[in-house]
Amino acid sequence: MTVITSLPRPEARGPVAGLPSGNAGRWRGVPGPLRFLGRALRTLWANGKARAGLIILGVLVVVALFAPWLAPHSPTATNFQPYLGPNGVNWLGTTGNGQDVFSQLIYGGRITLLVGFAAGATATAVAVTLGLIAGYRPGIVDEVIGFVTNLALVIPSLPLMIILAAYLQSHSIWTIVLVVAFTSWAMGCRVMRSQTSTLRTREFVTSAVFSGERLPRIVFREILPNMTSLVAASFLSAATAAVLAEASLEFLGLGNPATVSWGTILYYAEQQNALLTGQWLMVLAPGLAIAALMVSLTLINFGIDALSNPRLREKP
Amino acid sequence: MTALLEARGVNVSYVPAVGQRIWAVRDVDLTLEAGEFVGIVGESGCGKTTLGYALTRMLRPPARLESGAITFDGTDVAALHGERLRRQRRNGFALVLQSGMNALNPVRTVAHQFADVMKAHARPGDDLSRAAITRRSAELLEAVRLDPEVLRRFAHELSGGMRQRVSIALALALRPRLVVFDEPTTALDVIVQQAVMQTIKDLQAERGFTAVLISHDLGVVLETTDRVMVMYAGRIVEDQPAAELIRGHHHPYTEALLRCYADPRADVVELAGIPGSPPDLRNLPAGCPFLPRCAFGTVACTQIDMSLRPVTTSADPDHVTACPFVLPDTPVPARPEPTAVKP
Amino acid sequence: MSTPPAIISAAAARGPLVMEAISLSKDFRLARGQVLHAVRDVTFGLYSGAVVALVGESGSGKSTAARLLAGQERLTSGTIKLDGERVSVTTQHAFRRYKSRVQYVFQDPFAALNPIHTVRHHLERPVRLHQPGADVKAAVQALIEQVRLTPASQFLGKYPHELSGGQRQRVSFARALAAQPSVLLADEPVSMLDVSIRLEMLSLLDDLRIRLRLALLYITHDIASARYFADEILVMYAGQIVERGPAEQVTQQPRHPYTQLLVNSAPDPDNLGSTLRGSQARPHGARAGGPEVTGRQSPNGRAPTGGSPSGDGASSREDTGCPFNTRCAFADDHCRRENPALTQLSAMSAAACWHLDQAVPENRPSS
Repeated sequence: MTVITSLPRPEARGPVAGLPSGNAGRWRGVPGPLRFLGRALRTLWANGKARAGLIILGVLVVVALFAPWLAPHSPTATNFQPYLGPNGVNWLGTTGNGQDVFSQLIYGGRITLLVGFAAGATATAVAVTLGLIAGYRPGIVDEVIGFVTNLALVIPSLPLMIILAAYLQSHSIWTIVLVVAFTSWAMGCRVMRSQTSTLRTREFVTSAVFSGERLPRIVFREILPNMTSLVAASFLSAATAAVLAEASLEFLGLGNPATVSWGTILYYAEQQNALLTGQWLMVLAPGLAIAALMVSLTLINFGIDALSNPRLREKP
Repeated sequence: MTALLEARGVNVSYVPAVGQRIWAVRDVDLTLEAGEFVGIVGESGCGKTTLGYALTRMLRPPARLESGAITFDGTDVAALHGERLRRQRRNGFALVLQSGMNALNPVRTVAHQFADVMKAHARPGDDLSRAAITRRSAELLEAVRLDPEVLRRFAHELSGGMRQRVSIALALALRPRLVVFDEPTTALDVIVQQAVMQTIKDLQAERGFTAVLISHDLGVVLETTDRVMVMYAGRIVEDQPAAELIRGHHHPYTEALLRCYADPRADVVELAGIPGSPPDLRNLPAGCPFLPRCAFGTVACTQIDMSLRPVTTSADPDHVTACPFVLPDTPVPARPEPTAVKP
Repeated sequence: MSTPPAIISAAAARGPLVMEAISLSKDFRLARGQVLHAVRDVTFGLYSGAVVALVGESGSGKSTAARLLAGQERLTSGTIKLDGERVSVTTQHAFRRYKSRVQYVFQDPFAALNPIHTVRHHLERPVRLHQPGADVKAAVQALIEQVRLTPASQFLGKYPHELSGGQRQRVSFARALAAQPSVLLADEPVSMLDVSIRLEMLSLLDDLRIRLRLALLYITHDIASARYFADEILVMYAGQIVERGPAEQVTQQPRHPYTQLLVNSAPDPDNLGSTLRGSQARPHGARAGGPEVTGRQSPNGRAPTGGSPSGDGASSREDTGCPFNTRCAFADDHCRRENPALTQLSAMSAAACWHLDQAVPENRPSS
């Protein structure tokens, strides 16, 4: 991930794409954040890798959203003959309980995407908040937060997740989200902290201080917006890890086996010895789906790198 | 003398991901003889840095060399890529960057940076032992008038002028035939600037490499160079020997630049500037781009093409200029007062 | 330490005393126990409608002195007075009030503006903070026009990367003026701009000084622009004031060898290119190379995080003698042993040197 430590001089490099230009013209009526999003998407689309990632992610999201219309059967209905291989009715076969794997795959995307993005967002929010505070105020505050971050980094996340999930009685989706977020905020926090302390020494921050701005405003309105692409990249990394973490927890049976997600398909596949019964598609399909989601997020992350560092842009 | 570097028809553009293409350098022809010291002068945004980068093949996206032949000692450099380009860098040209003082690796000692450069471009038969590298590094530092003790220092322990000298020494480590200095003294104050320029001048005289000095400060360029090229809006508008320029007849833009200096010892100090600002490269008017700020400008200026013509009345046959109208005895019109900035 | 002489500032003729710096000192602690005396016993005053220039090279302490006045650094010793009253900014509220009187303009136009905010935002914020209840739109419009960025509507919506260096610097001025200050501290406001547009900037500052009756502190290393622009010049070296006086006098008859060096280093427009060209002659008064060149005398420690450069003027040892003695053509044992105090030369000028009566070609002292 590229960390910006100095902004490119416009005179030397020409206009930098992705940066806004004033007098937005025909987009004037659209509110600021939406315009920003539109601009970001346009720039990402220009990058080949990011475009591929956006397309894959788009397909997965659309499939998950329109699951009730796309899935041929209900994912939980057990009225099929169990342990079937792929056939005309069940394209990917059936589980040991007589459920259609293909429908499960389609519906499963919902939970996986939800948990992945929710946990990623939570982890990033925590990382940004703590990182901003630690980076802006060197001294005791920084030391304390730094220590806690180091502690969180040192403890291996998967074992911790397992312990937490096993310990907490409820196995709802939101528990999973919290558990995953709790174990993955530390890396992002470290990055945010160092970027904040770089930006803190910039003259435009000093002049904001000289204008008499208060601390929260300086941190959230002057420094944070300069870190947008870093936050976005951090979010995508966290979401990628969260997707895998959720699948792992479900696979280990620490999730809610009643819900349908790609991880639970794998859980049942393991429980029901799918490989022994020759139902290798039941393992391959959700595995590929998880991999595809993670790859798409990573590809988009490449695009964000290119957004903030013009040198990484592909040759036209 | 055979020409060391010949560039014909160089055109460089910036192609941003969104937005139109900008021509940063247009139709530049230039010839550098071996051992010459040439200056390229112009305001910010005129394309001089881009040209310097183009000549040393340092352009990065979104900048692109659109067309032009660049021949270095007979080899067509414009077509080189990858490993062959890297080898060309080894014994060909070197570039000292504008913020060269910031180009030093902050977590490594100066000695390490020299060793890095020498090892990366080692020729077969080069002695790469630690002692040999240290000896060569110390020699280079002494050439730029630094104490070899600096080898043990880190970048942040050196002052701006010292770091700039280290950058220059690094550039000379591979005995290049051509060195391009991009605004080497812009961030330095006036006394240090003089010292660094003196060093550059002496080095060039001693070692005989061809040097190109890029700067917006005509005074600095005139201190050290043999020949001066003036750029405006991506084009070369004048090419003249330095000694001539001080005395002789110039393009109106050069004239305007010359008037920007004030003598603190004079009885009445007058500061002059050039009113207005350099044009937006996306919206260049027809004809001469300097017209809005030119003291001599007339309607006829919108019709000229910007090709360089020899100045017949000049003492030097190589003096060329893009302005066909300003002749030696054209009286200078009354200086316009600097008015409100035109956007 | 010496008592500052009772010198009348050349700037006093313009207006009343607004800000006073009395015996300011600032020390930075470096690694390995060394102390960097960035500013030593500096005294001067800023007068309404007048320009005082602080001239020196990097490491001379001029920027640190300005930061002390701006409230960005804490004083090691000394007093700052605003309108005759001692200044102490300990609370946020007091700091805000202080900043509404004393504003600062940065050197680097590229770094001083936040790249993600429009010009309008940069101006609206200080207006809201310092002019509560005012019509923000009108105030912003007035500011833009004051710095001659017209037409205003074209510039207000732009982002910093769409502006040239000169335009950005104008926005920085406007932002400082939004607080309606009495004092403006301009730290090398034109050093990073092209030579051809410096005049416009300085004439803009001049215009603002007259119209708004600002007390301006102009920091620069270019003594020619100080001569053009300032009423009084203070030459700093190694944290100390080594010469002061009316601008014209200091540049035409410099008494301190360092001032002479500065004056001679400025390019001679009638003879551009002559200083280095065709001769090995050094600028008058300087030894060949100087400590900057050899690296031997640079301080051993890291530059302190306060931002003071590890320049060569500032001494990191206890001072033994005049700090300029290593570069001075007239230095002798006395100079190496004892640091000269500012000696008053006339009602309005002073210099700190043991050899003031040394006859110097073309710079004979006039008494």
